[in-house]
Amino acid sequence: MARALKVLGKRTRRLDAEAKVTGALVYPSDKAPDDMLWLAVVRSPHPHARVLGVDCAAAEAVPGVVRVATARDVPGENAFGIAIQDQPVLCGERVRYQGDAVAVVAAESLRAARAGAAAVRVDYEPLEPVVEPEAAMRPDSPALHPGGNILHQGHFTKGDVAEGFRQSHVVVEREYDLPMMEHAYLETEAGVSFYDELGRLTVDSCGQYVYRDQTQIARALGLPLERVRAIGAHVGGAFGGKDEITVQIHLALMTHLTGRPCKLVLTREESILFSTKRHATRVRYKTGCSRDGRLLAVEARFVADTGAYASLGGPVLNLMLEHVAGPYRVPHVKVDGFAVYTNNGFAGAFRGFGCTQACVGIESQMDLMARAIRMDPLAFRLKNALQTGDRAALDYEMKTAVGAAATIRSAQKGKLWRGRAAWRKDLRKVPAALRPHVKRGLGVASQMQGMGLGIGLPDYCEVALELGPAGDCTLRASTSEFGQGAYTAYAAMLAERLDVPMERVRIVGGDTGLAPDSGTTTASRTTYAVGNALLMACERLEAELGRLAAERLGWPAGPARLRAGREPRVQGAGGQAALAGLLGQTPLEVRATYHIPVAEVELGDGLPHLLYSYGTHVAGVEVDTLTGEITVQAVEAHLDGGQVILRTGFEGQSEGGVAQGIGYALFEAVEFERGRCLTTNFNTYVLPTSLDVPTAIRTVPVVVREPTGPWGAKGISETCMVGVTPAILNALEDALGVRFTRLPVRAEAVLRALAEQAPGGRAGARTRRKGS
Amino acid sequence: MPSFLSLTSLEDVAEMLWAEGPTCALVAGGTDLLVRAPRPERTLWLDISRCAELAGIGLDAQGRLRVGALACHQEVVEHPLVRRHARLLGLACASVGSLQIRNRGTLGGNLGNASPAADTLPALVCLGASVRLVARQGAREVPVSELYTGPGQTVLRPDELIESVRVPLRRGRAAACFKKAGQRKGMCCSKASVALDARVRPGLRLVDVRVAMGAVAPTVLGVPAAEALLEGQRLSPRLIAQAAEACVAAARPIDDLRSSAGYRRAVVGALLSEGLLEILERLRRAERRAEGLRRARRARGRGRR
Ligand SMILES: Cc1cc2nc3c(=O)[nH]c(=O)nc-3n(C[C@H](O)[C@H](O)[C@H](O)COP(=O)(O)OP(=O)(O)OC[C@H]3O[C@@H](n4cnc5c(N)ncnc54)[C@H](O)[C@@H]3O)c2cc1C
Repeated sequence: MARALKVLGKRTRRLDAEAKVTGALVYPSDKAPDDMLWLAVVRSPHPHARVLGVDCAAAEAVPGVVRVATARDVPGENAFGIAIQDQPVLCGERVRYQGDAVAVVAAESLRAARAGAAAVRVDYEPLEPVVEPEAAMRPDSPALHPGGNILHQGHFTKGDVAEGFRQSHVVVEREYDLPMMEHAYLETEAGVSFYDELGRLTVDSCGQYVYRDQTQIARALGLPLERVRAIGAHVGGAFGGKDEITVQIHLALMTHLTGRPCKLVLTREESILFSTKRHATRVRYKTGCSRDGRLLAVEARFVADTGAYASLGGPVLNLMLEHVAGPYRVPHVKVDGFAVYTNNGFAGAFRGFGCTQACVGIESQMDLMARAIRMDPLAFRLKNALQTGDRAALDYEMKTAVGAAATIRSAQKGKLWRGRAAWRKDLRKVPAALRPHVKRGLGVASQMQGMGLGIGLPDYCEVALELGPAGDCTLRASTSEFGQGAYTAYAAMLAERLDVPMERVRIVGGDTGLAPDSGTTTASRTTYAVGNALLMACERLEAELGRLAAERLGWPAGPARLRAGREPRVQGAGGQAALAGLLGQTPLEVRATYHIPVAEVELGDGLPHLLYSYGTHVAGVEVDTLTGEITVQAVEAHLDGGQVILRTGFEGQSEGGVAQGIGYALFEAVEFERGRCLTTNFNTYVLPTSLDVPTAIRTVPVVVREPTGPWGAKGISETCMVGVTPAILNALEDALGVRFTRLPVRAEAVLRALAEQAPGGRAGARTRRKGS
Repeated sequence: MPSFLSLTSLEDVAEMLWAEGPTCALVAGGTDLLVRAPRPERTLWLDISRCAELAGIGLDAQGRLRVGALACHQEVVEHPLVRRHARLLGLACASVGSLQIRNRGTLGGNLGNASPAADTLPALVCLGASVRLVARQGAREVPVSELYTGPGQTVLRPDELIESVRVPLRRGRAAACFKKAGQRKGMCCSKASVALDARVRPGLRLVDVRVAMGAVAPTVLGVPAAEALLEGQRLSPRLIAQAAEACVAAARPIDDLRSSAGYRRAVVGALLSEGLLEILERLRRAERRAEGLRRARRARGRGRR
């Protein structure tokens, strides 16, 4: 029997709450080292052009300008990229998207830096932009990179889909058109650089993995790793958009060239133009099931627009392939995917990481099939839900705890679904005169999401744990805190495990100079990975305490536990002793490294995963059929995160995920016209506000313990968002009888669809039913 | 970089505009100006936000409602005179942005910015409001319906500024609605908007009907055809549909990032329909209540007899 938990799973106040609310917490854009220079970046106005020359003379003459750097000034390799280094730090020959950097200006003031940037004369020869991924894949397309325009492709088959479709009673075929999406974090990319007290070139900024930033900076500057220090602890939001290098190398370069501290904060326009986005993807699905609701075949094709450079385009595509069939058992699968270079901005990591696109596809298909065979959509999903021991879509065995069925059952038992008949008719809040024009609908979606980086990519997590004589603990872990509450989760886990009050735990994060390499802050991995590493460290700490007690107090061998209290004590084989007496003046430090377990098969970079998180969402929408306006009225999230670490954090993630899922479904799209971005700020890139997000969000933890997780926990930071979008699409069909396949679904699209559906309109479905 | 000057008296502002008008940009709440900077020839940003003469809401010498140019939207929403005599204006101001924007953005700024999508314009046109323009050489009044010549274009001379808005008081039972379609539920500019103001007469009838639309033409647009259809007629879903059709027919919208011309055209009709259906429901309910009272009174009378 497990001990009752003292700290975990409770509604806990965040460690950083007060500092954030009072403004005491310092973010990268708040930092201002003495004697610093301001930077401004000269960016290409063209989506595609040859750079014929860069003339800095006029810029250097601007009063206050100290240094202008171009491609020639990059001392190391003029390239960066997480997976493939194909993006220049500063472009010297060619620019491939609007936002590509050509020069950096350092000046005594921000105004002088911007005036200097405006005075840099770049001679461009505009080239025809490559904007259509399908066309870009053809051999006759102009190539954006030496290897052609296909960054990555993947093809898998399992069974024989033709046979699967032959056996199917219903076959549904649809194409989905999914837009590019902006992360829209509160804080734009920002940071400062300086030489630290040990003479290391230091960049204190906004990355999601300081050790990789360090590597990328050192490579571009031609410096040995130990001469570079990267910091990034508290950051104003990331969602994957700060995983790739943003400001780091430009900062390091200018401090390297001038010897002075530097500061760079991107404007919102720069941020939207320049940083990575969610891949715009064309998704084609053909799926079939039997009359009694067995999913028999899934055939899919993804064409993901990866924009100008690689970043994580390859792995993102791999996750689309991996999650092609959602959390369902299916004997016949064929999937093809392409990540294609174009001049449409630049795509990379974003919460969901490819699962998002696959999930919209498969969950729409699941609903269409359930409808065609007149089966309840949750019963249909439950019937096909993966179980431990099943073979996944790409034909490997599901080895760990599978929460698919549990989250679906939880949704079935949830208030919203059980009360669905009444909910659909409940128009009490609508003025009576308008009720005939208002339709309600409920939709569901179920999802799984690989946790961690997957096989083939190093996925380890080292932490250092220090115990002071007064009983205070310091955990050093290099992951970052973006607002998700990770540091509070670490403190809660330590408090649970060690009998230390949370207030006595200090977290030192995001600094290659202070914390060991805990890996990336991505892929729903942080709580799981750091949690496991800190559990190992705690065990070591107890062994070490026992060893010290044996050595100094003559206790019999064996571990010693910490005992909280005003005078913390240790308890072990020899009885009890004061901690202060045992340690003297020196704190005790231990380290531990956890390796995230991976699958036994290897199908590609990060493909597949061993561990997955699961979730099922129920969404309720209300549509005004006169204006086409959609209101999401209720969302219920049934999330399998194993053991809940922080209840408040769990709910906070879920509610944020709902808002972002609504944004993807109904509001957001980065739009281009011939490679030129049309939506460069929040007046044209329209995000949902609190009024567009329901107050009725219910988050139900579904606890399917992951045996390898800390207390059975796993991550939920992606499952909490991904299923929301297709659940809304399914709710819309329930309300209107219209299947939307193009995101975002705005009022314009609703009115258009309703007009087509009206008698005389031209609505056609591609659902084939045997014998009909 | 423009220079910035803050003046606290209307006389000084008028003097400055007389001397430097074409190079000045007036700054009130700044919620339009700071989002989209004015043309570069406007090198002097003239802050008028501390001119007491431009503030306040009250009655003018002719007994009209006077809303100072500097009154912010929220002030208008909450003012008792507006609630009693210009409810439509309150509805329009309540739909602007968010509480933060409503506390900062002014009525004068909404008028001066001359956006075709400005939300107070259809309401002010329906209410027959005028703006009082002030210059060193003297003042004049221009009806809001004649203030605009195109998107961002007004009949203001470079030496003039908006001092206040004057709204004739509406007496008697009013029916009013303001409806807008936006890209989201708050903090957004209209894709299209419709305002309606009328007096209520027994038998579900509206008279003195005024209808105006925003964001579906280069300037705010009155809809005489819809007004004529509704004037004095018994409201019914059929009549409402016809009035909505008249709005659709009158709209001359454009395609842009915010919406499509087709949607704008369709939705102005929908907005008017929704507004009128709600009014109809309220009128019916009021009639039923009145009928109930009458019957109760009659029953009591019989009982006594
Ligand atoms: C997030 C956001 C949401 C918004 N939502 C809405 C909305 O829902 N509906 C809507 O209609 N608007 C909206 N707006 C626009 C804006 O808030 C309003 O138009 C507001 O009324 C402008 O007032 P202001 O005092 O801030 O104007 P300012 O920005 O100070 O001025 C605007 C223009 O008017 C001129 N001007 C100001 N005062 C005078 C005067 N007395 N005489 C002559 N010219 C003058 C200025 O020179 C300038 O050209 C929104 C703006 C933002 C930023």
